[in-house]
Amino acid sequence: MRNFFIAFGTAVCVLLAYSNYHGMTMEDMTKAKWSPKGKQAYHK
Amino acid sequence: MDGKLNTPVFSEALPKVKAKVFNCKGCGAPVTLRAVGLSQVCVCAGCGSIIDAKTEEFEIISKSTKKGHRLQVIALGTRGKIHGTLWEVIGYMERWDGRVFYWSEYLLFNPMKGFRWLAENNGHWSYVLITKEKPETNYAYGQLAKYSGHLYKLYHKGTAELVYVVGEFYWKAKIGEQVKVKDFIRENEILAVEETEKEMIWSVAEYLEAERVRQAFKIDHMPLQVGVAPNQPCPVSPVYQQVLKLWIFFSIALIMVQFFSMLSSSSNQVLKQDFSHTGTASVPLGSLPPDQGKSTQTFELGDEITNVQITLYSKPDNGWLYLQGELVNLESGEAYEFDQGVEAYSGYEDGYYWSEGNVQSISNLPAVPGGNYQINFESSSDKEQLDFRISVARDVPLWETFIWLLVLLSLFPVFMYWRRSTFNMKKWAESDYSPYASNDEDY
Repeated sequence: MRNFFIAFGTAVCVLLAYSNYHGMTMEDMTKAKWSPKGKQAYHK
Repeated sequence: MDGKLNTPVFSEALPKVKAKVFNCKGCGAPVTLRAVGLSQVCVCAGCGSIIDAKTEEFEIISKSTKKGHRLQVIALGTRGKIHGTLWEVIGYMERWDGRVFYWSEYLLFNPMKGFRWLAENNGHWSYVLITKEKPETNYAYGQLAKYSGHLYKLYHKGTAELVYVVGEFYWKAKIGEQVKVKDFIRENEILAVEETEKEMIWSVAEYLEAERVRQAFKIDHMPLQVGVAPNQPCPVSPVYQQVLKLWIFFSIALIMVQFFSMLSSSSNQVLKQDFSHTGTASVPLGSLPPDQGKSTQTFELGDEITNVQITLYSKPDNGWLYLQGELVNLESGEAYEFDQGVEAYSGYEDGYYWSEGNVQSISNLPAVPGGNYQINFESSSDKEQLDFRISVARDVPLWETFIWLLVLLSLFPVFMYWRRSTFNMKKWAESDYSPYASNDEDY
């Protein structure tokens, strides 16, 4: 449980750093706009 | 030595004690005396006679015809190892609180270590040791007791009456004898005091897992476990404590990441242009003709990939404005669509002014590469003419993701806290001093 939460917390921090770096919102991330394919699909 | 609490003092040098067997003068059944010289009385399992164990005559002091209310699951003479010490069960008794609850207590004996108790209530077991020091009770009007540096909370006050005995005891056990009891609890311990007119005896009852007791004494049929014991340790607590520390650590880390992102964010405004919506077209103010009015000026977004925030601002008087547009890279032709609207309504009704709606709406476009851009758009409104403003900023710090991730990070600790609280509420359910009881119950 402890290790799971360490991995989860680390992932959350990395996700925030990544999303802030690319200026993405949660909605952007859930629509996978961050991936090259997803971004392409979203922006046509 | 009338009281149960006048436990004999043992030293490591105490010689091994041999058991003595004699016949009961009441029924002739063989009676085994295991703690010879230490036991004051022994009770015949055959007829219930309470026999004076201090003399070789083994005279009957009194006779009890009462039977036990509970199931004695460990027979007298059974041996089992607890905390690395081999104990022999030499006495069994049942007590009740004078109202509803009955519980069992097994007297354990080891010639080198002396006496201990094994208490069982609702299938929950406790290993009981008489304390050497008297705990301090002058805390919080008697609601707390301090022992061995730890605070215990008051859980129960009442009486305990002896209703059944068998085996031998180090005091003159009598059916019907009553003591006042107070129980204080902390984690996996009950700090209990039994008080008579003559003495006051303190003990600490440590929770034992039923399986451990079953294995130690090789018990075939264990009593059914019901509810949560006052000293039952919360299975979630150790994990919760760990997770809470990690949550604090990662929350600080998350705040630092956000703080760093805010510091490194330039948040540059790259466009601010006013338009007027007329009929079906939108034109820049003072720059007709209308067929060229559906685009903003060209603006530059810098070299790096950043987010772009497009803000629409207008003050429709009881109306709305809707904008559908695209941010277009003039070099690559790549387009980023968006739509947003504003609406504002107000009035006077029943003596009150009211207003609703928003005069500003924001669209965030993530990960937009640098370059020269312009916005192409179409506007629609229920007004014939309406002024509005479009402004564009790049590299804008966002709070939304931070807040969502903080909530996500908190879900697991909150769930653990809820499970811990639920467990503790069950633990305190039988107490008159529950910190979880609502005030309504007092009335």
